[in-house]
Amino acid sequence: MYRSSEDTLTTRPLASTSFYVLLALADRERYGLDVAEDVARRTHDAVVLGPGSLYNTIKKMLSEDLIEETTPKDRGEGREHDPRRRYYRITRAGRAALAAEAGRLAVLVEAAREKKVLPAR
Amino acid sequence: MNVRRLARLLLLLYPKSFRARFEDEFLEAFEWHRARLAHGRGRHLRLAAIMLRDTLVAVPRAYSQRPRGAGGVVRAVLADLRHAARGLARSPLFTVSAVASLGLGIGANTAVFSVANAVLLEPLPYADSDRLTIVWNHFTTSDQTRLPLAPIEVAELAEQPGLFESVGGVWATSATVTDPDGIAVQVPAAVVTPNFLAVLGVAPALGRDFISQARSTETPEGVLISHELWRSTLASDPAVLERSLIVDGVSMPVFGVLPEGFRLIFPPDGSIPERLDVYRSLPWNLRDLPVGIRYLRVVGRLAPGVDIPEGQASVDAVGERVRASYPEIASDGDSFSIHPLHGDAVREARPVLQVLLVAVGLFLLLASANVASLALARSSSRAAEMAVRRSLGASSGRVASLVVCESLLVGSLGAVVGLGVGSLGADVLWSMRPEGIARVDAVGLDGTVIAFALGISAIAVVVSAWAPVHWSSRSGVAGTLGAASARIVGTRTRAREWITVGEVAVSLVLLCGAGLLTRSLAELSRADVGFSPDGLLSFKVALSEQLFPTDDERARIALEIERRVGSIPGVSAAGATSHVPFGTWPNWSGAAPPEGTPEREVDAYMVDHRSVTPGYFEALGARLEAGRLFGSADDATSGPVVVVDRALADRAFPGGNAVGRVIHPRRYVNGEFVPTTATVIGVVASVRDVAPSRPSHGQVFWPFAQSARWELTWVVRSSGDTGELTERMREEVRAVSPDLAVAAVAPLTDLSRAATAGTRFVALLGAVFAALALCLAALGLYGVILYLSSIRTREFGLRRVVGARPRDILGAVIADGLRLGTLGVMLGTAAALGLNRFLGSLLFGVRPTDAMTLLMAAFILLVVILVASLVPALRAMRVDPQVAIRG
Repeated sequence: MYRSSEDTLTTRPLASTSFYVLLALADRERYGLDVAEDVARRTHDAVVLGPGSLYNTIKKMLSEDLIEETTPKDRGEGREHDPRRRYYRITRAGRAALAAEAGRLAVLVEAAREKKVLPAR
Repeated sequence: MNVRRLARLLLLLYPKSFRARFEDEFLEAFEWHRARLAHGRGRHLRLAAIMLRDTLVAVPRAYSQRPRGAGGVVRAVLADLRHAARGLARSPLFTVSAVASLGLGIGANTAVFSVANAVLLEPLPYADSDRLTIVWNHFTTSDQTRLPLAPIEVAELAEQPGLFESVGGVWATSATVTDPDGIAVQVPAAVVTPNFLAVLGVAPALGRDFISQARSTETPEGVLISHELWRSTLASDPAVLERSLIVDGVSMPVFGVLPEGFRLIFPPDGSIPERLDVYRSLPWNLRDLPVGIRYLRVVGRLAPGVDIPEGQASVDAVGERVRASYPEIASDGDSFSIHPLHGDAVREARPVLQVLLVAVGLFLLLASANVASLALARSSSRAAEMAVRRSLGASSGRVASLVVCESLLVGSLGAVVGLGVGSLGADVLWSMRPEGIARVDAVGLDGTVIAFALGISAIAVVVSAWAPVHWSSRSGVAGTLGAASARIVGTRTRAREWITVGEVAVSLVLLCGAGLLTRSLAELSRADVGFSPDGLLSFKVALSEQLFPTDDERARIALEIERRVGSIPGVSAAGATSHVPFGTWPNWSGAAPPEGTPEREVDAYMVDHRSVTPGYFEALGARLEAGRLFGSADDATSGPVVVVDRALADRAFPGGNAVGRVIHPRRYVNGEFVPTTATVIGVVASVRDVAPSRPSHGQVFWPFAQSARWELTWVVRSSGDTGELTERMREEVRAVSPDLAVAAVAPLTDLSRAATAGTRFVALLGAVFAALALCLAALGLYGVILYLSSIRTREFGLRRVVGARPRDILGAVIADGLRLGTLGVMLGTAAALGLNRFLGSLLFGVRPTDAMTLLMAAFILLVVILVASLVPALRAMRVDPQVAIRG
């Protein structure tokens, strides 16, 4: 289980679903379905999060303080929002975990390039 | 496809908290997936696959992520169990006492139930055994209700439409088998109808049954042998079916070998041993056999759809037909009765086991009450702890949960100990079993017995936990720490007192039962059986009609054996009888009416017939009351003479002298039982030869030379070494004829003990349970009196200060004990008077309501109560008054 300590987070890998959700929330807050749409779009439908997996992950990440639910006041006036929906945004801890995981993946990708699994840049 | 409905269905798989939080979003996401896959081939399949995969992965994860509060109940119970375990470990005396009490109670019940299950509940080892019945003959004009049938009656039963699918009969006898080395051995043997084994649904392990033989002869040829005989005599020869066996001097082909462990399960009074080594067949047509001899024990397999009442109606119809067609063998008072074979086989064992089950049930109740009292005592010492928990917000349920967890742990440990004790106890019980209970090879803990043990463990836990749980949930913070504490303590104390009163009552019931059974045993041992069994050795010799076909030859052989055995040094008397007292040989009974008896009253004189050699009465120690006994002149050439017993003499010639009078018994001559006119030459005291508890209903004795039966049991009175005597007897018998074999050598006291084994078995176990119950009740009482005296310590101190003497304190404490004990004895007396009547069939010479036994049991209990009260009373007496006042 993740704690809010960034030290812990920088040592434990993220589950893939959590990575996708954090990545989707990295640039702006979104509601749940929006997250799924973003993930599907970025991966060209290679990763499609089912409703159970999506909301299980959101629930888990809320409890781990990697994301938080926002209120309309948090979003500020003028921001588009649907009052029926719950919006989520990434927390500082979540951003750190995302960065750590992205860094790990980058190292692996570089290794794959060296081994000519992936084409060189 | 109605996606929304499908989504709602899938959502039901998720935890409630998940549904409450994410239901709308979940449904929206579902719709999105459906819209994404709206086009293309197999869209429904693809959507279903995605949803299925998502559900299989997400649902388990959702449950593992439930908030702490939702799993709290399970975690709380686990915590309580851990706490209870620690608490029990800190109180080893309580834990050991409670577990031992419950373990003993559960173990005793498990042991007795395992025997009862094997004997009473397990079906007979035959195919569809619940369809098997046994048919008895019943003479209403005499007291004989369970007599065998004649072959003609079996034939009539077989021909009754709609009654039996098949019906057959068996008669137990013996045979002399000569092994390949020429050594003759006497073995139990059977004569059966050709279809008998098929009726039971048993097929030989090797070879074929009689019924499978072609009816080319009047009688099926050959013999069937037991697996044990095949192994012992023929060395398990695989070519056994090509061999012959010499049976009673005649070479007979072996037709088949029965399965290993095959047993005949018959009622003990059917005189059919469990294992018979040689089976010979009766003729195919039973109507060819002599009409008037009843010897077959009949087993019938009911036709499909026929029950016992319908079967009884059918056999009643057969009875009418037999009476009408064969008046020479059946009169108006005769009838048949049909019973389930299983129930009839265990009819003697059932009351024994039922009494034992009640006894151990009471014992478990007592043990559970003891644990309840211990737990109550313990709960009063933990009242402060419970109060603190309540003050910190624990609900009554949570506080009670702690007590329940303790009870569960104690009960579980008690169940484990009980299973171990039960397994051991079952083996011990089985090794002690009397003959009538021998129905199966062994008993053990099978699924049924284990389920029973767990069931009674649960009951024991409920009984032992109810009181402490009740009080733990009632005692609140204020009640423990405030003014109401005295009231709580008072009601709890009264509960312990009442539990102790109950324990004393149950102990009295068990003591009383044990006392009645012990007195019965004493009465049985003192019963005048009409002869002196001590110092008598018995053995069997079969004079088979194949080896010695004529009556004269058998009479000569018997007299020669008697002369030779009687002349062995150390032997004071020797003689033989066709039916030894307490033996298991099928009874020979028939009518022996005095001269001039009307035909319709003949059956009122159904008596036991015996053939005896001249030395028999002297060897047995029978008492001559009138006339004379047999001599060498009473042979086949002299007129028929008989000796009768007192029971027959009084019935046939009431108030008069039977000597010189004429009666018409049946005589066995030239292979048949024929009515004969005989003169009574002597009257002997009645011999109880079925069981010491059963008076004779009349016996008539023939001189062997005038009624030479083929199976003889010798009784030898001697003072010498049994081993040497046995060897000499074998030598003397072989000297008369090498074809003769001595079998079943045993002291006659062994036979008489076997006849009382049932009562002895129950009496011994009853005494054991009563003693254990007494100990538990004494311990329970000791604990309560100790507690009562401890809470009155200050009061005693004050009384001493104002002038009371130490013996006044002693008296006060003992009075408490006697008060509880007397109440328990009164309740127990009422219960015993009600319950002891169920012992009726097991008692002899004493009534179930015997006052002396009740008084003795009450006296013993009160003495034990006195002693149990004395220790705490002495302690209270010695307490320093100043210390007591200061508290």
